[in-house]
Amino acid sequence: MSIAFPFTAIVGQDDMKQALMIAAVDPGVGGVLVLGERGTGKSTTIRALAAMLPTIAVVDQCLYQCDPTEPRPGLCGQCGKPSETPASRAITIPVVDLPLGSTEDRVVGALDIERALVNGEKAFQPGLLAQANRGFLYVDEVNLLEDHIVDALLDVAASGENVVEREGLSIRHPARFVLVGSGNPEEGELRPQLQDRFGLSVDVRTPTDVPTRVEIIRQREAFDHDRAAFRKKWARKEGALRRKIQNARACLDDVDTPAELLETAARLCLSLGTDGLRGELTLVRSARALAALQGKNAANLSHLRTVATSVLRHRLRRDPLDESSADSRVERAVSELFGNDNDR
Amino acid sequence: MTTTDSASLWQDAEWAAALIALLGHALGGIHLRAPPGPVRDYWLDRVRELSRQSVLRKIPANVPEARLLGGTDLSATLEWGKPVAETGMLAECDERIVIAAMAERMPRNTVHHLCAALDEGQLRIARDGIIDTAVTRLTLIANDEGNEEETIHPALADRLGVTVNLDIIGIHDTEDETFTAHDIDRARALFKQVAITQEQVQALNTIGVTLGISSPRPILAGLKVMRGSAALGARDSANEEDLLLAVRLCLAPKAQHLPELSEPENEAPPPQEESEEEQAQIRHEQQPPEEDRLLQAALASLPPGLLEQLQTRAAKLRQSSAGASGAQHRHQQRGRPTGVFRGDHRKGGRVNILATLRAAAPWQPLRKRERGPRARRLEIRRDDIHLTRFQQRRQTLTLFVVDASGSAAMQRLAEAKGAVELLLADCYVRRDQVALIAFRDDGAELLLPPTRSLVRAKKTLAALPGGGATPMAAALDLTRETAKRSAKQGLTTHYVLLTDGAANVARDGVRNREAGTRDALIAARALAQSATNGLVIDTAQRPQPRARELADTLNSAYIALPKADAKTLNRTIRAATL
Repeated sequence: MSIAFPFTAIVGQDDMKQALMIAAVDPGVGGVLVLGERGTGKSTTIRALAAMLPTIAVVDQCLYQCDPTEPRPGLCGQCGKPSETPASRAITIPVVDLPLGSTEDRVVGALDIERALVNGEKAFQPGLLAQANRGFLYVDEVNLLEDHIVDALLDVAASGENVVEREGLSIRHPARFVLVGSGNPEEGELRPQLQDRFGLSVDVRTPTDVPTRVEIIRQREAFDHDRAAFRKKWARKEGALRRKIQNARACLDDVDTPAELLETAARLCLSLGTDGLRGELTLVRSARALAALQGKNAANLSHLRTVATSVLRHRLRRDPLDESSADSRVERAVSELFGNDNDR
Repeated sequence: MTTTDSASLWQDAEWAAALIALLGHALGGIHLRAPPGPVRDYWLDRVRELSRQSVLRKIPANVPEARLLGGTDLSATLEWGKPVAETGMLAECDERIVIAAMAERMPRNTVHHLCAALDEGQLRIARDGIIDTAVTRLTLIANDEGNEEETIHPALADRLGVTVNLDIIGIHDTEDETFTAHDIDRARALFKQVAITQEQVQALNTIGVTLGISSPRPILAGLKVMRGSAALGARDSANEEDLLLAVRLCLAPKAQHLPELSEPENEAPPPQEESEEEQAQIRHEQQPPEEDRLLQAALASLPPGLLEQLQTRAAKLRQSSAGASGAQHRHQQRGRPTGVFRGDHRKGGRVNILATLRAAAPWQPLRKRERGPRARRLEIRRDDIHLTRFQQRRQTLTLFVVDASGSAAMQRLAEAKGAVELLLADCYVRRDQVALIAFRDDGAELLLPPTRSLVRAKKTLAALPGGGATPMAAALDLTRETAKRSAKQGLTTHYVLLTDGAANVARDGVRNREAGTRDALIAARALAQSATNGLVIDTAQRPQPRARELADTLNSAYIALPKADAKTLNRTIRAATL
C-alpha cells in the first residue's frame, strides 16, 4: 500500500473536506459527489480520507465487517444468529475502490470457482460491495461507469442490502456504504438516478491566487520528497482530526434537533421546489453531523446554512442546460430565508 | 535562422530524454508530438540508451481492457483447474518506460487506467474473479501523431510532465549526444540534494498562472525538471537556466493563453474575461518584475513558429476538451459485455471462461466418477460453455446545423438558439449525443464534435455569432461528412437544420444566389442519398417555398419556426427521428 497524502495537509478545498467529514460522521447522509476539473485534488483528498479515518469494531472472521455490538436483523447470515457475543476486532473504516473496468461478478460477488472446482463446494466469494460495508465505496470517474454496474449500485445503495441470485447461489448480505463519486463534468453527464443517490455534492476548482498555489506545490513537493517523513510530520494533526471524527460519531445520537431547524429545512426545500423529502432529511442529518463535529450538543441554523449548498445544489428541478445557476439559486433562497446576517 | 531554432529544440528534446531516464515515474512521462520518421526513431534511441532499457514496451491504442489490466489466464486456469490471474500490461511495465502508440486515438477507458497508474503507481483491479492491486510505476511516452483535430486526452496530457515536440525538427538538426548513461547515474546520486529557493517556486507558479494553467501538476513536474536539470549539470542548487528549461518543457506547451509580451502596440486585444482581468491585476500587484523577466526570457527562448502553433493548439484544446471521447464511444458500441449466456462457441462469440467454469464446477465429482481413471483434471461438457453477450447499443447523434448567416441571424438566430435548447433538453432525456455545425460567411464549421455534455453544447451555442452570407452547400456537405464519420463509430445521425433556406454561396465560394441555391440542392440530394434522416426548421420570418423545397430535396420533415412551440417541435423531431 502506498503512503497517502495527509488529509490535514491539503490546502483549501474546504467544501470537499467538510462534506467528506460529514459523511464520515454520519454515513446516513447518503454519499458525496465531487465534481471538478483536472488537478483539483479530488482523488488525493479521498485517498487521504481513507488514511485518516478512525477504527470500528467488527465481528472477527466476518466477511462483511458486521457490527458486534448490535446483533439485530440486518447483519449477515452468520452474525444474524447470535449465540454468544462474537469475538471482535478493530479495523480502520474501509475505503474500497471501485475501479473503472470492474466486472459485475467482482462488484456484487459470485460463486467461488476455486472452491467449487477443487472441493466441489458451493461457496460465495464476496465482492467489492461486501468489502465496503460500513465504509466508503469510491468510484473515480463516476460518470464513465458502465451502465450495468451503475444499475447494481443503485439498487444496493437504496436498500443497504446486496442480494445475489446467480449460479445457484442465493445470498443476501448487508452493504451499507457511503458512495463517493468523483468526475469531470465535461466528460459527460451523470445519470440522474445515480446523481439522486448522493446526499452531498461539491464543486471543486483550482485556486487561482499565487500564494495558495505556491502552498499547494510546496506541500506536494515535500510529500514527494520523503513520503514517510511528511506523514510523520502531520501525524499529530491527523490524529487530532481522527479523534474529532471518532468523538462526533460517538455523540451523534445525542445532538438535539430543534423544531426551528426542521421547519427552516422544510421551508428552504419548499422554496426551491426540490423533489421528495430526501433533501430535507439530508439537510437535517448533515447539520447534525456538522454540529457533532464541532462538539456542539444541538444543531443550529448556522450549521444548516453551511451545508445547504452542498445538500441542495444537485436536487433542484433539473434543467439540464442550466447548470451554472444552481449554486446561486440555493444561495438566494438561503439568504431570503435567513436574512443577510451571516453571523447568526 | 530556422536551423538554429530547430537545433535548440533538439537540445531540449535531448534534455527531455535525459530527464525521463533520470526521473522516470516521478515525472509521469512524456507527451511526444512527433510524426513517424528518423527523428523520432533517433530520439527514442536516445531514450533507450540513456535509460539503459534496450527494449521499450509498446501499448497499442486498441489494447483490450482485459490485457491492459490483467484477468484470467485462460490456459493456466484450464490446466490448474482453478482461476489463475494473468498479469496485465500495466503491471508488467512496472519501473519501465512504455510507449503508447497513437495515443490520440486511445479509448477513454484506456486513458483512465493509464492516468490511475501514473497517479498512484498502483492499480486496483476487480474483474473476472480477481480482486488485486498491481504495482504500476511506469513511465509513459505518449506518442501523439494527431493533427489539430485530434490530440491526446487532456486528463492524460495533464499527467505527462514533459512535452517534446519533434514536429518541426529535421534529421539534419539533430546533434551529437550531450549526455551519456553515466551522466544519468551521477545525476541520480545528486538529485535529492538539489535545492530550489522559495523565489524560484514562486516564480514558476506565477508563470503557470500567467499562462492560464489551472492544474498544479505541470508546476510540480516543472520543479522536478529543475532539480533534474541541476543534477545533470552537476550542481546542487537550481539556477535560472534550469527554470527556463522547466518553463519550456513543462509549462509553455500546456499554456491556455499566452501573455502579452512587452509590446505596448500589441493589436490583438486579450479575450474579455473577468478572470483574466483579475489575473492581470494580480499580476500587476504581486508579480515582481523579476518574474516578468523570467517569463519573457522563457518565452523568448522558444522559436517563434512554435508559439503560434501552441496558441492554435491551446484554442483547439479549449474547444474540445473531451479529446478522443468519440473513440471511446465507438469502442463501447462495438460491444460492451453485458452478461453471459449459454451458447455454442462454434457459432462464433467469445467464450467466457469464468462462467463456463462456474457452470461446470458442481458436476466435477460426478463426471470424474463417471469417467473413472481416465478423468481429466477438469471435465467440461459442451453444455457448460458460456459466451459473453455484447450489447450493440445503437447510439443516436443529433446534429444541429444552425444557419448563422445575416439573413437568418438578424431576426431569428436567438429564436433558433431557443429552439435548439428545447431540443437539447429532449436529447438529454434520450441520452443522445449532440454535435453542432454552424455556417455563415465563408463556410461551415463543426463547432462541437459529438459529445454527451449538453453543458458544452449550450455554451458553444450561446457563444455563436451571427452575420454574413449563407454557404448552404458547404453546410450540407459537412453534415454528410459528419454523419458518415459518426456512422463509422456506430452512431445513427439525425440532423436538425435550422435555416431560412436562402443559400447564396456556391461550393467554390462564389457569392451568388443562383449558383448558391443550385449547389445547395446538389448537396441536398447527396445528403438525402446518404440514408441520414432529419428535419428542416424554417427560421424565416415569413416561411417561403425555398426552405420547403430544400426539405423536399433532402427528403426530410419540414416545420416552420413561427408555428413551432416547444411541444410541436418535440413532437415533430420525434416523428422525424424515430
